[in-house]
Amino acid sequence: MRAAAVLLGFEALGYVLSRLLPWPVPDTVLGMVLLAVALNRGWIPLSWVQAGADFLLRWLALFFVPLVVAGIPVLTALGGRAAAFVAVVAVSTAAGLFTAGWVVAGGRENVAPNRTARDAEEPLGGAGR
Amino acid sequence: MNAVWLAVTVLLFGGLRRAERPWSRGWALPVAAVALWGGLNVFGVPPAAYSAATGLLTFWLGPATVAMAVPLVRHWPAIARRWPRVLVGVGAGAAVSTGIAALLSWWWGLGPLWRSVLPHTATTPIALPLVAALGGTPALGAVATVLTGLVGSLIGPAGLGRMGIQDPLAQGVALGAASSGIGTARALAESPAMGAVAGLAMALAGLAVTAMVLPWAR
Repeated sequence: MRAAAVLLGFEALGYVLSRLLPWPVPDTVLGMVLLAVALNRGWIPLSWVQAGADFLLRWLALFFVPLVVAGIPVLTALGGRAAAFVAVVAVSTAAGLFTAGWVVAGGRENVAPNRTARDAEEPLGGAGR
Repeated sequence: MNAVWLAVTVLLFGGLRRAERPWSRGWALPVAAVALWGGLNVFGVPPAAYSAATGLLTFWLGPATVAMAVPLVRHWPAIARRWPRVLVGVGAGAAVSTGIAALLSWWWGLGPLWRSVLPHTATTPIALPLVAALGGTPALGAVATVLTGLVGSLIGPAGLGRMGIQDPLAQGVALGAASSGIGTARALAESPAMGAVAGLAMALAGLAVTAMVLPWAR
């Protein structure tokens, strides 16, 4: 309950801030940043939100189900153009995803199958140090 | 009526998630959605009525996004150590996604649909205002961002692994930057550390896409 109150409170704070900013930054993203700062500085104890946040994040994909369902009739209404629409989104997403992964993994010198086992054992450490 | 579709959605998704195996991770979401859409058609339920019935689920997307602060704070030292690379990776991923979407929209003759596709890499609450600013259709923009999330979450971890990229930080940045919320959910299912950096990458990619797309607003 307290976790829900804190999370909703920070979403509301983010909403207020998003109204003041000239760019379209969503309230939820601002709320995430504000809460991260508050937790980091110890203004809010991690124990207040930890269990609730873990629960919500474990079920994050569930909260997307209605959005995916709502998208299906919109996509089918595109008729003959649906295939090209999906193809543009799929190809550009794959290209961006592999680019980002490749860059963060360290480019050519670090991306090699023989490095991978060690990197996988070391959460968020690995290549690049 | 409302409670029934809400319960069916939760039970179906929960069941599919329990049945997931490592090779099928990420499929519960699209499979549940297609099955539910079939069910809505069989029972003659209009999509708007289903959206209203499941409003309680959509509602929690907001607090859940705020909640990404928790893994972010917990894994902040590891992320901060490789901060420049994370920034460059997010920028490169967002630029490539947006640039290729623009190029392919023109090449494959999408016509005015490009206005709804261009910001697809950004998370939905950022992408939809951008679609509106470009003069696109918000419903199509929402579909594009959902598809983006599904594509990234389904091909991401396996594809990156096949490229020799097992590093959780790299996979997290890739999933968050290229496929926003659904990609971040997928990263969280892999590990909290991967989810933490994915949530951050999602937020940063939203800013990068905004900067790239806004000049084309009309």
